[in-house]
Amino acid sequence: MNGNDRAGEFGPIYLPALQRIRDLWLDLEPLVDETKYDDAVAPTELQISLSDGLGDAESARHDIQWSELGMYSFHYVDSDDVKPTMRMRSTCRFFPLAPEHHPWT
Amino acid sequence: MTETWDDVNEQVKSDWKDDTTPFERVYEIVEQTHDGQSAVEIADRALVSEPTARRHSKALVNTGFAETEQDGQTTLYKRNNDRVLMSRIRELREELNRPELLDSIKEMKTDIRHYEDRYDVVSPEELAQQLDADETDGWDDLTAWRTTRQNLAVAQAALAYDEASHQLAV
Repeated sequence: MNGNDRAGEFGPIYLPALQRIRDLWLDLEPLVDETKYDDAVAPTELQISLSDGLGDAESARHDIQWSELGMYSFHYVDSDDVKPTMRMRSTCRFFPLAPEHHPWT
Repeated sequence: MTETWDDVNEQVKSDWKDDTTPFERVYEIVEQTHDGQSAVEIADRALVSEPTARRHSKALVNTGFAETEQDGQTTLYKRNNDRVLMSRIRELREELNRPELLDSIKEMKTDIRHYEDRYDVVSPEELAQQLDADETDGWDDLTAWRTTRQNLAVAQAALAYDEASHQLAV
C-alpha cells in the first residue's frame, strides 16, 4: 500500500476502527500471534498474524484497512501463498453490506 | 446474492443485540463516530430507542469519552478527538523509542519538503487552489501530504509527551 491507494474514494484511514478490530481479534481469536500497523508512525493498515492458516498453511496474516468513509478491505495471505482480498463498503458502518465489486477476488 | 448479504446483516445485528447491553451498543457506536451524529442516528445504529441513545450519549459526554456539536437545534455526538489523539500517542510511545521517533520525524519533514519543492507552494491548502479538477496525481499528492502532516504532528506530540513525562519523573 502507498498513499495513493488511500486517495480518492477510499478516504483516509480511520484508526479507532482499526483499534477496535484489533481488540476484537485479540479477545476472540486464540490463534493471534501478533498485531501491528504496517508503519507505526504512518499507519495505512492493521496486520494480524495468525499461527495457523487455511488448509495446510502453518501461518497466515490479515491486512486490514478501514476508512473514515466506511470503506474497508481485508487481505488474507498465508504460508501457502493463498491471497484472496475482500474490498467492500460498509454503508452501515459495522455490518458488511453488498460488496462494491466481487468479494474474494 | 443481495438477499444473502441482507440476511447476514440481519443475523449479525441480532447476535450483536443478544450479546450486548444497550449501553455497550451506544458506546461502540459513539466510539466509531467521528463526524457528529444525532441521537436519532445513533439510536438507529445502536438498535436502541432514541431516549436511550440520548441518555447514554450524554453520559459518555460527561465522562469525557464523547463530545458534542450543535447543528441548529440538534445536538450531534461524536468521539472526543482528544481521546483519539491520546490513544494514538500512547500507541506510538509503546511501539517506538525516542531515536526511532526522531528518525521518522526527520523522514516526514523531508517528504513534506519534497511536496513544497515539487509544487512550489507551502501547504496542501495552497496546492488545492492551484490544482485543476482532472490533475489526479496532484490530488493524490495533496491527500498524501495532508496525511504526512497529520502523522508528523502526532509524532511530534508523542515526543513532547515523552519529554514531559520524563521531566516529571525526575
